[in-house]
Parts: sequence; structure tokens; C-alpha cells
Amino acid sequence: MKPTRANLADYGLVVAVILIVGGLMVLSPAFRDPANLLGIGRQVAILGIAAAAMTFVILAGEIDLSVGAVASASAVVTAIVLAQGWGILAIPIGLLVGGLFGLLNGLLIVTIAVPSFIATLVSFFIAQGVALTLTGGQTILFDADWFRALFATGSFLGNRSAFWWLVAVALILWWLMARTRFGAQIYALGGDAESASMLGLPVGRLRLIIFTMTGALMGLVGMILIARIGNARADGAIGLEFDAIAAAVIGGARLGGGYGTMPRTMLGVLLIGVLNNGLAILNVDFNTQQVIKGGLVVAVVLIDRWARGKERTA
Amino acid sequence: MLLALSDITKRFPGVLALDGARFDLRAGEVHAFMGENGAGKSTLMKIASGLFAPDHGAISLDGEPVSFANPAEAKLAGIHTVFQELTVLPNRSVAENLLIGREPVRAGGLWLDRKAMIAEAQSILDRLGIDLDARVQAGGLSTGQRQMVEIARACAQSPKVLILDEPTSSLGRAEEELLFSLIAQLKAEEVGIVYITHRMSEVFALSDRITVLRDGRFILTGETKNLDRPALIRAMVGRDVAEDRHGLDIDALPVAMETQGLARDPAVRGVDLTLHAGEVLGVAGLMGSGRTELARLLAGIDQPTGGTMTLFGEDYRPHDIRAALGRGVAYVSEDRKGLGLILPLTIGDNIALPSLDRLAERGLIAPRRIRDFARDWMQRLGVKAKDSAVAVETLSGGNQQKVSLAKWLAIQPRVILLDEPTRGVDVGAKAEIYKLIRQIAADGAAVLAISSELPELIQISDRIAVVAHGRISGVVPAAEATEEGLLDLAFDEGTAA
Repeated sequence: MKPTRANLADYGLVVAVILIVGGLMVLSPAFRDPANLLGIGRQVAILGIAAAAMTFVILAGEIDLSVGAVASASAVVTAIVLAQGWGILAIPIGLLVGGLFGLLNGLLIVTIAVPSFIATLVSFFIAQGVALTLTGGQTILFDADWFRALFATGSFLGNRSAFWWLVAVALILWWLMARTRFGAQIYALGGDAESASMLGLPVGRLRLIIFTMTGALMGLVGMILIARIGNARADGAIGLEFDAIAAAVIGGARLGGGYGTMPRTMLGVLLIGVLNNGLAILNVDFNTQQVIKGGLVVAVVLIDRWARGKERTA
Repeated sequence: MLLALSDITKRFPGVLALDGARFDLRAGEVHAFMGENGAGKSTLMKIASGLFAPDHGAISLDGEPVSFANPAEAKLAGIHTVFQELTVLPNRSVAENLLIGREPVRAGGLWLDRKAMIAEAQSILDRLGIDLDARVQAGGLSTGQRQMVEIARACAQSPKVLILDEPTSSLGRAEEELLFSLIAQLKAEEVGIVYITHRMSEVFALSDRITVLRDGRFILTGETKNLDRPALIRAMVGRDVAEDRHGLDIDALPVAMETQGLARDPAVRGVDLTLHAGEVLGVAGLMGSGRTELARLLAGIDQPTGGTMTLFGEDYRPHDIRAALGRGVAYVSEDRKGLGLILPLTIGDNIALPSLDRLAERGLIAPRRIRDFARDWMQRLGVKAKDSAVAVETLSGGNQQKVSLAKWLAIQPRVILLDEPTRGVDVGAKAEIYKLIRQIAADGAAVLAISSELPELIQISDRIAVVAHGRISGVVPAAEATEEGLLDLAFDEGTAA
């Protein structure tokens, strides 16, 4: 028996990214423009952070359908605070709104044992309701250049600040997941929740932390979102949950829990980002892009299964 | 006294699981804990390991009263448990499984020290004599190997009390011997060991004292040397269990199933077998001999790579379970939870499931019909439950196995393949299942029964076929079979080439 798992599935994803990037570079001069390539990095910032958080949730054997709605609600609250001229207070408030929704998810799941699918669906509706009530269906405008520079538009080491937020979040979550005892416990929880509790792991606390953390990160996503476009809408990040799940699954996370890594989720994010960017440049319309994204998820799952089959007989 | 549980009562919704039960353990002894399934052994030990809180009663450790809010507290106090339900995490390496919750860290806990973790885990495995690479994923291990990981995890934490719940039920012979030598070593280190098992031979070989529980009540504690097998069985079931033998004249019976050179690489390597309608053919063999793989071929789960099969004289080559069922061949798997039963569903739903086609009228199902149908089968098999609307997951192992049998018998199969029909089932229920198996054959079906327990095979079979190295090393009439003779065939090296 070989000690390390055959990494066919890993390589498959890397090869797919390289093939798609290579193909697009040959096909489109606009794509291979360095400015465009750098631009992909900040275009995927929001998806990347959501997918990083979602990987943690999926790893623990749970799901979070509320991320898009929570990010939207935090964005709306943050924009209102900024519009009121409260300045830097907007940041903790935005994170707090996200964190509270996450905590609500966690409490529903831990204290009254609601499946995460249902609990986060509840938060999805509440967050949407809150956002729509606060905006009254209007777009919230605000004027805070420092805020926009800090979270999205500012330049630092050749790329925009949004990109660096993604790098920071991905690194911190990677460290938590792969290099701490907390991460080891999350893998255990996702691998077999019943065993984890029989082994004496603090199962409830772990779930609470994961959902609260995801909520707070959605606060950050909301801020990046409004910093990028300069205004906030109640439906600003709706649909983000599905892209985040797709990226994590393309990266090899399994919805049953226990499997998934941060580098591979980031490859999944990159693949979606490159594809969206390239297809847009090639003038493929948005609806067709959606179909291609769906096909990609199926293809990755099939390749993953195929690679795993090889691994077993190897 | 190292550990004492006294006057423990525990009620679950609808059942009084423990009713004033007690158990005490000395340092440096192996204390066998026996009783039928559902007697409350596992529940009592789950209380000792902090998984359940007792409704009433006291626990003391080293003479001090203690109470555990969760398994972590019990472990901290030195009580470690190897549960029957394996808690090895399939998605983690052996090292991570061994050291879970106490992984080596650097930088004040900020970083896991993977190198140290693998080194420490490997040294634990090596010290205990377990031949495993600490870096492999636990998901790829056999059940026996997982069990050894589980045992190693407990041993590595210098336990004061070690509770082993049916530790040998999935071990091969070599692993079993390793476990027994580990137990001897722990005993010498003054560890108190609680040993839950259904295997009499182990009880008498290993234990210093025996405690028997029945229906949640304490029956007896005694020195092993003052007890014998009939006394224990009487204590457990409250009656004597008959042991008799069968032996039909198979030449008078029609051939139901026949295989020639049946093979599937690498486990099954050319099996010639004849199964008659109306007989019980026992199949013996060591773990890994290919006996389960053989049954899976007959059941249509796996496809053979060579050889032929016939069913009542006709060509038989099922491409999946459904096809086999269509021809009247049913397989009752070893793993009740994995393949046999849908645990959250009711007894009625489970029994009716394979027969739905017959029970439905124009695609619609009348609940009353299912209920009557299930009630009929529950009665025939003696399933003990309030009614057919009880969820299967709440039943004891023996009753679950009866439901599993009922469900397949209800389709009235011509051939029924039983893989470990009494695994994890207590003595009393075993006797009832034996009777059922004989009845199935007497009603005209051909029965093939695989079992690791040789006395069981001798008791239920007409003939016993022994599998070794993927081939049949011998077929013995049950009337002439001895455990020694069967084991000799099972270890047969002549078929190894």
C-alpha cells in the first residue's frame, strides 16, 4: 500500500486550468494582455473568499445556503452606516452583521438540531428580508473613497486590494484547516460526526465556530462588493452560494464532508474565474457561460471519481 | 476496587435499558461482561465512558465518586473505550486517527507538527506490534485493521480502565492473537480490562472474572474458574439451549445451484459447489479466504471472471442483485446496516420493501396491506417489537437480523444466501435464528450459510464446505464435522498454489 494517495485528481485539475488558460491565450490577444490576467485575480476575490469559507463548511459535513444573502445584508448595512458618515465604524458593524447571521445558523444547527440545509435557508430568507426592508428596494449610495480603496480599488504590489484580501483569507483559512488542531478536528467531524463525538471532540462548539466565522467572512465579502461598485443593493450577492459550492466541489470537496483542501478550492475558483473572463472576452453570452459552468462541475466530478477508482486498484 | 458502577438505572424512550445494574473491576484483571444483545452491557459501558449519564446510581473510580459529563472527561480520568461501532475516521491517516485530540503541536499550539505526529504514531504501532504504516488513509483499511487502530488509540493513552466491546468480531486470527498478547501485557501493567463478547472460548481463555447481565438487571459475578459454559448460558438466557445436529440425505434432494470453476480474481479461484433445495450448506473459511466474495458472485453483486453457474439446471449469470432476485436468489448480507436494512424506516416498511411489486395494486400501496403482511412475517420469525410501526434502528441486533431475514423470506426465494446470520446476535436469539434457518430449508429453499463460528455451522448445516485460498478445500457432512477438522481444512495449504 502506498502511503500517499495517488494525486491524479489533483493533477487533473491543474492540467485543466493550464489547458484552458493556454487555449484562451492562443485564441484571444485580449485575454493574454497582462492587465487582463491580473484583473482575473480581483474579479475572483469575492467568489474566492466565499468558496474558502464554504470549503470549511463542506469539510465539516454541512452546507451554507445563506452566504449570498448574508453578504448582501451586511453590504446594505455597511453602506447605510457609511452613508450616515460614521466612517471607520462601518467595518466592525459590517463584520458583526455577518457574524450574527452566522451565529444564528450555528445556534439553529447546534441547539435545536436543525439540518444546516434548513437552518441556512432560514437565514437566507431573514437576511433577504432585512436587506429589502432596509433598502426599500432602492440602491444605497455612499461616498467613502478610503473605504473603496481599502477593500477593492486601492493598488498594492501591482494588484488591487480586493485581491490581497482574498490572499489573506485563503492563507489564514488554509493554515486553520491544514496546520492546526482545530482543522484536524473539523476533518474528523466531517469524516464521521458520530465518531467525533464519541471520541470526545467538542462537536457543537466546532459547528458554532465554523458558521459564525463564515458569517463574519460574508461581512467582509459584502464590504468588498460595495467597495468595488460604490453602492449597495439588497440582491447584491445573491447566487454567490452556488458559485462558492461549485468552486469547492470542482476543487474536490465532497458534500458528505471530510474531504477538501484550500489550495484545490482556490484552483476551482481560478478555473471558474478564468473561464468567466475568457468566455466574456470571446463574447460568449452570460447564459451560455452558466451552461458551461454546469458542465464543468459534472466533468470534474466524473474525473474525480475516475481518478479515485484508479487509486483503489493501484 | 478500581472501578465500581452500582445500582445503575437508565431509561430510554420506551425501554428500561438498565434496572439497578452493577459491575466492578479490579486493577490488573480481565473481567468478561456477558449477556444477550439488549441486556444492557453496551449501555452500562457507555455510562462508564461518559457517553450517557445514568438516571440513577453511582460510579466510583479508585474509591472516589465520579461523574462524567462527556467522553473527554472519562478519558481524562483514565477510562478508555473501544466501541463496537468503530470510530476510526475514514478520511484521516492512521496517525491522525491515533493521536486525535492530542496531536503534537509547535509554536504554542499554532502549528501541527506533522513529522512528530507520524513518528509518534508509528512508534506506537511498532511498540504494539501492529503492522501498519501510520501515513496511510484509514478509509483503505480492512475492518480488522481499523479495529486494531482503535485498540492502539486506547492503549497508547496509558489507560487505567480499558473497555473492549466485542473487539474480536472483525479480527482475523493473527490480529486476534496480537490483541490477546496486548491484553496480557496491559494486565501486567495493572490495567483493569472490561471485555464484552459473545464468544465463550475467549471468555474462558482470557478472563479472570465474569459478570452476566440480563434484561438490564445484574445476574451474577463470579470467578471464571468456578463457572462453566452451560451455567453461563443458563444465566444469560434463563434456560438451556439445545445443541443438536442435522444431516439430510442430499442425494434425494434436487440440485438448486451448481458452480463449476467459478472464479473472480484474486479472491475466488475456481470453486465447484453443489447446493441442493431443502438443505443447509454451511460455508466455513478464515477471513480473507474468499468465502464472502464467493457469496457475492452467487448473489449477482460481483461478476465472475471465469467458470459457470446453473440454477435448477438452467444457465445462471445474473448481472446484478436485481437479476438474481428475479431468479429467486436472495442475499442477506453480513453488514445489516450497510446493505440489509434501512434503519430509520419501520419494521413494516423494511419487510415489505422487496415485496412492494407484489403488494401494490396499480402502483398504489394500501397501508393496511403492508401492516398485515409485515405482522404475518413478524409473527413467523418471532420479531419482538410493539408493532410493525417501530423503527428498525431501535431494535436489538437479534431482532434486526430477524427483520432482515423476514424481508428476504417474504419474496419466497428458491435460494437464500446468508452471510454471518448471527453476527453480533446474543445466545437466545441465535437459537431462534438457527431454528428459522432450518425451517427455511425444510420449506424447500436451498440455504447457503457463511459463518466464522464453527459450532454454529456444525449446528445448523447438513453439510459444511470449507473455503481456503479461494477454493473449496473440503466438504464435510455436519454429522461427522469437528471444529478441529474444519479448522484443519480452513488452514489447508494444499489449495494455496
